[in-house]
Amino acid sequence: MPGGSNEAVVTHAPDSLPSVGQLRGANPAQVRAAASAARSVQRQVEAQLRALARMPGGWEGPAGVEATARHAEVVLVGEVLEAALGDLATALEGAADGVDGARRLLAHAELTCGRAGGHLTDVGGVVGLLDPAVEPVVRASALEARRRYAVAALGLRRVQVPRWMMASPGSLTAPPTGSGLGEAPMQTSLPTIPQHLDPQAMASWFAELPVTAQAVLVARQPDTVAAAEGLPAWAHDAANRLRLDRAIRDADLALQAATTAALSSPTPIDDLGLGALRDRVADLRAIADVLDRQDGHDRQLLALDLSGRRVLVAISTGDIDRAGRLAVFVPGFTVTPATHLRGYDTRVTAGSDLASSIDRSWGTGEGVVGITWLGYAAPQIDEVLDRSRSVASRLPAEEGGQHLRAFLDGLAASRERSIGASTPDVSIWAHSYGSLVAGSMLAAAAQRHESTPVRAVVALGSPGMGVSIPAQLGLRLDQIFVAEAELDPIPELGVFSSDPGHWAGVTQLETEARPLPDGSPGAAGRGHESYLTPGSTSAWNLAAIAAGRPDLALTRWRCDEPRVLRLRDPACRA
Amino acid sequence: MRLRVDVDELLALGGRWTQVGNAATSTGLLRAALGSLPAALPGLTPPSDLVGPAPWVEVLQHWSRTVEGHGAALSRAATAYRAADEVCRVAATRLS
Repeated sequence: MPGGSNEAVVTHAPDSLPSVGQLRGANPAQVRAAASAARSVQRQVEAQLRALARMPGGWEGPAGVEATARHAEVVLVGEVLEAALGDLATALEGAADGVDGARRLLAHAELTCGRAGGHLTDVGGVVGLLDPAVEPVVRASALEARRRYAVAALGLRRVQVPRWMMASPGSLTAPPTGSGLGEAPMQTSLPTIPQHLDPQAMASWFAELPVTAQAVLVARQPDTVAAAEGLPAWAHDAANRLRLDRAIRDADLALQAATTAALSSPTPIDDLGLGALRDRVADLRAIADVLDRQDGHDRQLLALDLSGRRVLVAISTGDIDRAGRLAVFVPGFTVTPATHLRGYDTRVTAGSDLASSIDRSWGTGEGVVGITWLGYAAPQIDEVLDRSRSVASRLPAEEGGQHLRAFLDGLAASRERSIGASTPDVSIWAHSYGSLVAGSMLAAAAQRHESTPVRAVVALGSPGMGVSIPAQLGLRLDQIFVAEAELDPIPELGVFSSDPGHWAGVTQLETEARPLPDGSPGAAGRGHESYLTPGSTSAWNLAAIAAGRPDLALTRWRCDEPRVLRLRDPACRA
Repeated sequence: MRLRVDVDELLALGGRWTQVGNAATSTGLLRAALGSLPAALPGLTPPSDLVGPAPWVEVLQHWSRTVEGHGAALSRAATAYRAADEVCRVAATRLS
């Protein structure tokens, strides 16, 4: 357990934890046997799928088409079943490991207790100790062992039996009727995605479809699926990946053709739009590179907007549909996929990994998934003189805020309606001009008295969030955090209404070198791009907030504390 | 008109699907193992999907029935093609 006392990290009320006696009675070997059985069945289904992979060639006509479609559907269902069995096995293996660990810790407590002449009872009492100084240690260890035992089974909660195989109307309950001569071809009319539904209604509509119809929709109408807010993340991911492949092919061909034409044209190359084509290819390649990363994260391509000058994109570090908490990184000025996505994805991945680690040790253990959200047209350097697109204007931020709101509403709706999960707790890590985007979204929602899934917002190097007082963001003061690193000139600008660094009542986060609660040294951050740097105090703070443990974030020394004199801070100079 | 699909191949495919659908998976072992979980984890409330072994076993049985059903349909199609092919062959012989 990193840092802190054992008492401090218990998240369940001690009374609600399983007892010492129950932990003693636990049988991890039996849990492991269940994992082994699940893995064995998974392998059998996998072998079945391999055996069923091929259809005969040359079978044409309605019956052949329908049989081929049915074949694809059955195989798809088998793949989902195989994956679900894999999830079950993995969760059981994790539970067995967790129970083993809890029992080892309990055994250690019992040993310590026994050496001191005492005995640990089934209800956690310590009796007969010759050395009273040992008692707190034994009690704390036993309590931690009980907590670890309780947490061990949390992973099992995420396992779902794919019941839709039997329950969904029109699913694979009957063999195909159109496969034989003389029979009517099976009807497979593809549903049409309804227009003008809000995310909640869209999520409900999609959830009612048989899974095979969902899969066919994704494959045949990826553009429509991608644009529909409220669909589950897996559907957006699958549709967007199809669109990305197509877009890369198209962009490569267009660039190749334009380059060939430019070589034989008297017109200057820059006038031929080659730069825009190169930007498009570079954006798409960056997205593909990030999705192809082999670092153990199953990324999802949640959004891909190809309609503008630059590609807009949102990529998660894991499965959104199953995430307990989300951390959404909203970047600022000059950001494009080509120039920033790789780096931001690396940092957001590290940050969400750290948040998950904090969540496992100090939180509910449900996990944190990060999202690198480049989902708005960030102002660019060559747009500074354009009043509607300038970084000095609020217009790009207000437009971005609307996009962000739709994106978050879609995520929340799909989880609630499609998969029955609760609304995720969303933390926003809003950097630079991105903090104005987040501020615009929150302020607009607050003005309309609407709620959002946002439970915390962190303004990083913010030039202002577009509001005069933090209450206008519609969040409680303890849900608003501000970080301003040394040598970062941007937060000193305060150009968009008031300076968040001077807001009373909100938490000012530490960015200097400090020992962290897990025992590691937190490094100081310097400059405007330092906030997510792995190993920094700032990255720890962001992770703790995303993990739902803002109490573990380190706050900045107050000006009136003698240890620190922050001459650069006007509030301290006053 | 001759069929372009190989009827023998289609028939073999139907048989393979039926065979795979009929092949027993280790549901008995899984049923027993999952059924023992509540006793193995005293004091913990198992999630609803793991309360008993039945949901997983039911889903696996349904999967097997689905595969078997598709195999049977493929076999029916192949048999029907063969019968139709024979009708065509006889008709062609008479016409000639």
